Amino acid sequence: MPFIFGFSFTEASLVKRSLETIYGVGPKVSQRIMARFHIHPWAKVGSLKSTTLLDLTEELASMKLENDLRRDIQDNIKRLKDTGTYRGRRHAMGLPVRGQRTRTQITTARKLNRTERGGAGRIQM
Amino acid sequence: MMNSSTCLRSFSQLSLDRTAHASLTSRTLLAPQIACFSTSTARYNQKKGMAAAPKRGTRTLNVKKGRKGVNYEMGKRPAPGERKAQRKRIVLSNDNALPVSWLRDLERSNVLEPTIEGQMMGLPERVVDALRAEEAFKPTQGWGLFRRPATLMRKETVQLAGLVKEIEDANAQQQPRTIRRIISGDRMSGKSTLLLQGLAIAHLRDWFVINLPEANDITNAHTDYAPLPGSQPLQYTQDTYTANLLRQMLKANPSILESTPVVTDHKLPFPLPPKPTLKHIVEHGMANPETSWVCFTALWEELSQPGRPPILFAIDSLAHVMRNSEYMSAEFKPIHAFDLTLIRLFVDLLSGQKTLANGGIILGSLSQSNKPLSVVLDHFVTIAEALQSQPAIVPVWNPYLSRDQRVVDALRGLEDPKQKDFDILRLGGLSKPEARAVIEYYAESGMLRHTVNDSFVTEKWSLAGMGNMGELEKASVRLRL
Amino acid sequence: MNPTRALCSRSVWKGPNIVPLPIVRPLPGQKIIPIKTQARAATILPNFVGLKFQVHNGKKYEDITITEDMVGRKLGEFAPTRKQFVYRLSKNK
Repeated sequence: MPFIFGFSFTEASLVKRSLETIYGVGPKVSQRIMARFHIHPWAKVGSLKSTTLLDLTEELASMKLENDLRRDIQDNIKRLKDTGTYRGRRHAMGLPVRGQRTRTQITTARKLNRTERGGAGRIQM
Repeated sequence: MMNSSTCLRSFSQLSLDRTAHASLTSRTLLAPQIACFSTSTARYNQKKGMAAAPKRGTRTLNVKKGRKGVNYEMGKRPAPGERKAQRKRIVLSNDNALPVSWLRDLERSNVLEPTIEGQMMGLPERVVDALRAEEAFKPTQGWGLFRRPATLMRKETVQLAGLVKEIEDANAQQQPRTIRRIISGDRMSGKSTLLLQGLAIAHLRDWFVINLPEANDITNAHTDYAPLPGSQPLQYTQDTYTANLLRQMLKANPSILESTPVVTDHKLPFPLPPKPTLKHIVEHGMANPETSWVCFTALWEELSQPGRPPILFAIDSLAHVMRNSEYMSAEFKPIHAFDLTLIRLFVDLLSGQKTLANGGIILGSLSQSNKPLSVVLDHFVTIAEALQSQPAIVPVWNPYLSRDQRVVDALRGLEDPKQKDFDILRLGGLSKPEARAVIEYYAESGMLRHTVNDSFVTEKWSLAGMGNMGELEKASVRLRL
Repeated sequence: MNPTRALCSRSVWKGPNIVPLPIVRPLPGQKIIPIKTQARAATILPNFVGLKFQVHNGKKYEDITITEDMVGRKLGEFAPTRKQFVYRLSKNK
């Protein structure tokens, strides 16, 4: 079981997909990280050398990820709410924030816009 | 046979009887349980989970996958790699086809003779093994239709054999030459097969053969890569691919590698046994992919020593090489395919920047089916074709298209009619006598049930679009029109 | 973080939207007189901190007190223009 950033992954899983399970690492970020360490897009976690794993861990440690990132985002929303702005109020109500229509099509806003924001990742808050 | 069929019939009869019985029993036994005129049928049905009639507008047909609680048994899933193996499987013989009595084998002595033009020739066992190791056979080429691999020595094949002869003559006069050819032609005209024939000729003449079976596999970023330390501008090695290539080279050229001693000191990062041969270097590269590129360069230097055999270096679907690869550099910029070490070596040889010390042929084949857009390559190929057929009308570059300057620099030689060594090998249709030879072979193999006469050959020849080889095979063997 | 935020924001060359408001800085100990305005688009400048504003919401004037966090935002952001929807059980109430 190789470890990246303290999380264990199965050897047969793709490096790209493994990185993307971390909150704060999406397709673009994972591509960039992998290019930096010359990992090809179809590499499996099991094929990485231990030095590369350490490099990846170090790189990820320098980024704001998981709970730190969630806390950051939540603080931003909380600040908006505490100063009493319109945006903070919309976040609290779970409605679109940037002037979109609310008559229909607000499922994404319902799902995402909340003060306790922070989706799936390796760690749950 | 008879027995089993009657047996089957009785079985089916039996099952029919059984269903008949079942319906009978249901009518007699089950029916009384449900009152004939009951008002409670709806409730009864609900209990069973079958609504009487669905409400208007509700969806009754459930075609969604992965619904909860429903277990879809899809059967056994294929094991990892099983489907790919199936896709890449090469079948080279068909036991149902008849052996062709008059089929002669290609041999070292007859392969360079111009007299074999227009004849079907069998590939000897040794060459077949080597070609299979090099992945020169493709699954779509129809080798599995006949008793054993055989090819038609068409006009272009004899041209290629002529080039081989030129190289050997030049070597005999101590003036090694490097001839570079790009094979172009219509779809299914036999470009990859001509490449294969070139490889076969080289094997028969005891050349050293390197074949990159599919350029796509090198550039599509499915194998690992690493920067080559100390290269300027930065180049990238592909350790796994190179190790695999070394394995293929060892399988394809065992005698040369085993018999040739290492003469120079390459300062390799690993010890070699006393009295080392090239095989030792190759085997080490195979076993340790991280040293594969070092081993490859050492092998290349050894092959460049005087007295070593000429080299045939071939690649299929060349267009994949003439653009950015799918790999990304550390700065997240796409890596040009020319910056991959293997391709850099090939392109340097193709453009004429490097030459083979002992002479040889650099052969690239285009593909019409698996072909990324490469405007520069297309342009230079059309120019070279025009120079061969009608030199008065040579196309000019469309100034509104952006072009890849590195590719232009590599292919510039095609523009120059004075450079005889760099040219294209245009594959056209078969001539009628050639088509007749192929069709006779088909008929003799039992794959074509028709008397072969002139009118039949002409019909098939024209059905195949003036003798396109692949279409001819389709029209006469595969489709049974 | 979000590139569109920077791209779609107000052009830099325009600077902040500075509206001449009748700002009277009260002497310490005196009562703070709210500044009544309809300029909802006026950017809150650092020197507004601690003042009271009465911002028009389309119908009446809302009282807001400017704090440190509000600097850089617009006055209108703190005076909602829509009434909160409240569901009533029956119509005839």
